Amino acid sequence: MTEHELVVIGGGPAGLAAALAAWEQDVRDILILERDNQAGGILNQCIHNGFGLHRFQEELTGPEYAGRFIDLVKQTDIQIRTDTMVLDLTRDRVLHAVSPRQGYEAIRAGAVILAMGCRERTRGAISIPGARCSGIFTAGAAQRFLNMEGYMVGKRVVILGSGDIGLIMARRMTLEGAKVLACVELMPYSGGLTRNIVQCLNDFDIPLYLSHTVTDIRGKNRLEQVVVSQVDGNRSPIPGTEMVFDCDTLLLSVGLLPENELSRQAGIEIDPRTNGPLVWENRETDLPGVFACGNVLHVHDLVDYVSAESEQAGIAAAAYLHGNRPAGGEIRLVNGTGVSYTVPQHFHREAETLELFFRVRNIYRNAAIRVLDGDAQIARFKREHMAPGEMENIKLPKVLLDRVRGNVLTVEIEEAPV
Amino acid sequence: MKEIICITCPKGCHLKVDEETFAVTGNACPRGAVYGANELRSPVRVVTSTVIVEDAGTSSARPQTPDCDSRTGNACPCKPAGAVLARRLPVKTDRPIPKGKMFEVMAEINRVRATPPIKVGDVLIPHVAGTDGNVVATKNLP
Ligand SMILES: Cc1cc2nc3c(=O)[nH]c(=O)nc-3n(C[C@H](O)[C@H](O)[C@H](O)COP(=O)(O)OP(=O)(O)OC[C@H]3O[C@@H](n4cnc5c(N)ncnc54)[C@H](O)[C@@H]3O)c2cc1C
Ligand code: SF4
Repeated sequence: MTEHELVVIGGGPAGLAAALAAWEQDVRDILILERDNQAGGILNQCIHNGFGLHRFQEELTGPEYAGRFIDLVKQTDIQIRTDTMVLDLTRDRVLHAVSPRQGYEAIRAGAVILAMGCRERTRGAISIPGARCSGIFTAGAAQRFLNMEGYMVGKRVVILGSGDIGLIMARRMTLEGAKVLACVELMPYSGGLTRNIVQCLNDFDIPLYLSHTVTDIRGKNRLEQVVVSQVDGNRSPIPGTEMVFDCDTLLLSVGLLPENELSRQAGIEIDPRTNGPLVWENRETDLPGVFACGNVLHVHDLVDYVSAESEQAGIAAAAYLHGNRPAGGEIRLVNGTGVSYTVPQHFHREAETLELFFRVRNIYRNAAIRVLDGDAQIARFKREHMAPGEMENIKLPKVLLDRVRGNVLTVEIEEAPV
Repeated sequence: MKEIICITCPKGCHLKVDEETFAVTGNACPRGAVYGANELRSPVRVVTSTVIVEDAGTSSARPQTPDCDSRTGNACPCKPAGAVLARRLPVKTDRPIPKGKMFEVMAEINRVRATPPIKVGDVLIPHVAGTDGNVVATKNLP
């Protein structure tokens, strides 16, 4: 068994930023384990631009954004071991991993950072009816085939789900010569960023059908047709509204799920709302010395936020290794009206500025975010626009936190009077 | 009047732009007026795509990635000999090009090949499709 001060699982943007932050805090023995053959995570297949607007004030592509962090890591003694898959994590922080180079190995870590990212929901996860033919891909898998391996997965395409990956793939397939017939969204609003609706659908006259879903899939070997129907307020298909599309490919962009098999094996408590570990403000899980950041913690839409969050986790892991523990009792965060989750889920009373990330349940205009200590409002933030597809964040300064009396804070949305 | 959505900020105002005077209504802030007029006068976009990597080679000839041998200095031992290296190089136009030229740019991109070593920012196609944009690499290929 080998030993390392800090082991980071996953070499995507989260793992890279966390390792760099820990290095800055004088942790000198850091090992990143990555199962793919290169670092960079999902960014390697996201060849479009739009990354790093917050962080670098420029629009970078995914590989460029990842490249900047990889270059920084190379200037340190942080080790990245690629082609290495972590199979198990124990409660006393022993990792079991396999790689072609080392075979099986066990590694004992002083602290662990979970940065395994997320994976896509599949057809099974949303149970679409119809034939079991080929030609049905998750949008991310099609993205990897096209952008990294160089294979087009089809010529006539329907996309189910209006998440950003689906929208980006609508444009990408169109530019490469495919015909994208429709983008179909179950909800009455799109799950993707408006700029992607404009640049990926409107630019190419691809229709977006809101409040619609796929109700049948037809095809013997390869997909031949999909049937799309309108849905009512309860998301049930309305008979008589069927549209039939002749197509050879259906791409699914129906959401991402944090990849937490390892966390579960270690008995780390998972929040059913985020599908990620329950964390403190320093991104520490309920297992001391184990931290989580990036998409494994909750699904982010902007990689810039992933990097920022991961730096917090890296700094906290360094503090843990240096023997510094956060002080103060627990204050829990509770979701009020309109809020579907918060990260972190709880924090220490003595915390410095608390930055909260959360998602809202609906589209709101001219609404406000309220933070309540029992019945008393301690903060109110106005927002002109909020949507479930866009992660919200607020900062509570220490002066405010010092005034909290109870041990529960509620975050809620106050709708504008109509 | 043409109706467009402002994408300058997440609010996504629905703008109405006059085709002749380029006057904008429906914008909640001045940036929307600028966006709306430009979007009608001369809409531009960055194009990103990939280029075929010539002679991608195998791992016995070259290390698999810069990352995996960065500590040992050896040719990468962690990939079985014969495994194919990167097949595609991601690229972008280094500035937004006229929207109407997007497919012309794609056609030119699909005609070129990239031969490693390549560094981020290397120009693969200067003045693509007669625009003032260049197609540049967005990834290092050692
Ligand atoms: C298909 C897809 C497309 C996306 N497109 C966009 C986009 O266009 N724009 C945008 O802003 N965001 C996009 N995202 C969100 C994007 O994932 C995040 O912004 C960011 O990449 C998350 O970083 P991460 O490091 O948490 O996860 P990832 O980038 O997913 O990295 C996680 C890494 O951990 C590794 N790993 C996982 N399990 C193990 C294990 N057991 N052992 C060893 N290594 C392991 C994985 O191989 C991976 O390299 C996309 C996400 C997906 C899934
Ligand atoms: S007009 Fe102003 S407020 Fe409205 S979307 Fe554009 S930039 Fe945002």
